[in-house]
Amino acid sequence: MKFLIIEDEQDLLDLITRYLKKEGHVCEQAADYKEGFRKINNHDYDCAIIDLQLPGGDGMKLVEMMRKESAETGIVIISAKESVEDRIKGLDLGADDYLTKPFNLAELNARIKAVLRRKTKTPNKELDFGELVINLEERNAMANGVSLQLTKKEYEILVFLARNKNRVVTKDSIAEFLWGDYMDDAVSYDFIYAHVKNLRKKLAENNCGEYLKTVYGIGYKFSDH
Amino acid sequence: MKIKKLITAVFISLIIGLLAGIGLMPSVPVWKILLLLIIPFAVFFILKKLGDHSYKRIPSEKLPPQLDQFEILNHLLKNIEDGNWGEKNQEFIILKKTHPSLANQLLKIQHLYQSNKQFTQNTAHELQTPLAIIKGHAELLLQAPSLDEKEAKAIGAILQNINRLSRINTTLILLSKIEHGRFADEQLVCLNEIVEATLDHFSDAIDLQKIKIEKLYAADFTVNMSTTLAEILMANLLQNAIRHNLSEGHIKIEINKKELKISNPGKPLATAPENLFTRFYRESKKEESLGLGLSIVKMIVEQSRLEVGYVFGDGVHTVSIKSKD
Repeated sequence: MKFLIIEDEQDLLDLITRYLKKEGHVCEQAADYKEGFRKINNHDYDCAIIDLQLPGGDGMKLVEMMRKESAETGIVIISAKESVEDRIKGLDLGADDYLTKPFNLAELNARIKAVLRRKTKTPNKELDFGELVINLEERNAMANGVSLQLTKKEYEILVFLARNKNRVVTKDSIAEFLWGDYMDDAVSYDFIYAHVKNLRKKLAENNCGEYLKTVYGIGYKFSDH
Repeated sequence: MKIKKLITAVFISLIIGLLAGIGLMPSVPVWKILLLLIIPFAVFFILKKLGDHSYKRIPSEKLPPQLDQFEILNHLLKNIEDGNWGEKNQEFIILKKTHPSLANQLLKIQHLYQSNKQFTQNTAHELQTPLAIIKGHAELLLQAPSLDEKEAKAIGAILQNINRLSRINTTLILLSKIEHGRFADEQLVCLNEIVEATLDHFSDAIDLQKIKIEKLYAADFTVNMSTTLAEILMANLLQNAIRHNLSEGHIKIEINKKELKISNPGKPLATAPENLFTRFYRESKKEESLGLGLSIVKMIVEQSRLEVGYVFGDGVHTVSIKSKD
């Protein structure tokens, strides 16, 4: 897939690009309003990641323009502006998601995947890893043909990890993904530990225990090989 | 006052004019006529000046009694706090005339207060982007296949503390937003509904600690306030009730038309209850607590014409939110 990333902090721009390139996407960069404007006008993209405060202009205008240009492009806003008003404005202008800085790259990645899935006309109903198949419509998973009967949180953790497969995902990222800002670190670590423990038990009972690995107590990794 | 002066001025100019008329009878040089024409204006001007001068002195005789002076000062200080400050403020203009040095000091305080507020807000905002960059680098570093346990744990600790920093940051931004009253979504909010939604949000924590929820809803408690703030308020209160609960304890939620009470068993406070609402005060040494929750509660409550109270008795903490009306 082809991505456009518009962000004026070169460092952050490179980080996002590196992360998404590993996913096998083609990434184009724009470091200011003008460049973003030009690239939106001249090329088609599957997804655009747009920062709002750009030198030379307001990122909101780029969001609006991108949406007018193409209805199918997924648009994710990344911004330091955290107010509800900005969020609503961004979504009204046609963005599909809004992420406040500082975000986890794992979360950005998972959100982009969710946006892209919503945008395609025939969305993938499942994430297929062979023995383990996650059904995104029924919000459940099958391990070697057996339904796992996951709870809501177990399912969400599994999908989050699967969307960042073969990567270490920290407990912080999971906590932020599941509860946003409201939960405390240490408290949420306990919950995540409890949920993942149950999840792994359900996977192991059906010979899929290999998929979820603990990484030195700091996070988890979903590996499909 | 002004009319009186105006009448005097007109009267004097008339007399002078009359004198001039008499003076004109015999043949007089032109410069004398001109002089006579100018005199009334000059007199008027001088009178006006005098009037201003006397106005400046008048307040010392007509000074309001001492108490009123304090009231003016009090009012001005309150204006500074609320951000309703303007140098064209009536009270300030009076104060500037009566006590210029005091007015100057007040102006300084106002600037300090303002820049302090601005500083918190700007700093917090400016920190978001560098934090995002550090976070991203650490996250990428964590993906290196050659990482050993020691390195991985170090990166884990970096990430955890960046998270902590960024949470302090967002909370400070939130506090300063509440201080500035920047929440437009004010409407009639039913707190019963917000409580229900929040309980749902925290169902994990509640289940995991095997906390029992006891609800006594006598009526709907509706408040005219920002929905966002109502959600933050309830999240903070319930989170505290969960965090400082006993294992397998309970939370009792009582709501009537004008009051909401949340109580939970727990250890007694180590300090006086007043300290609870201070920024960065932490009852437990648990690292996860930022010590900002209850100061947010206090600010939201003040913004929304509510009152917050706290009591501890028989091993039970009770926080109540009351309507002021």
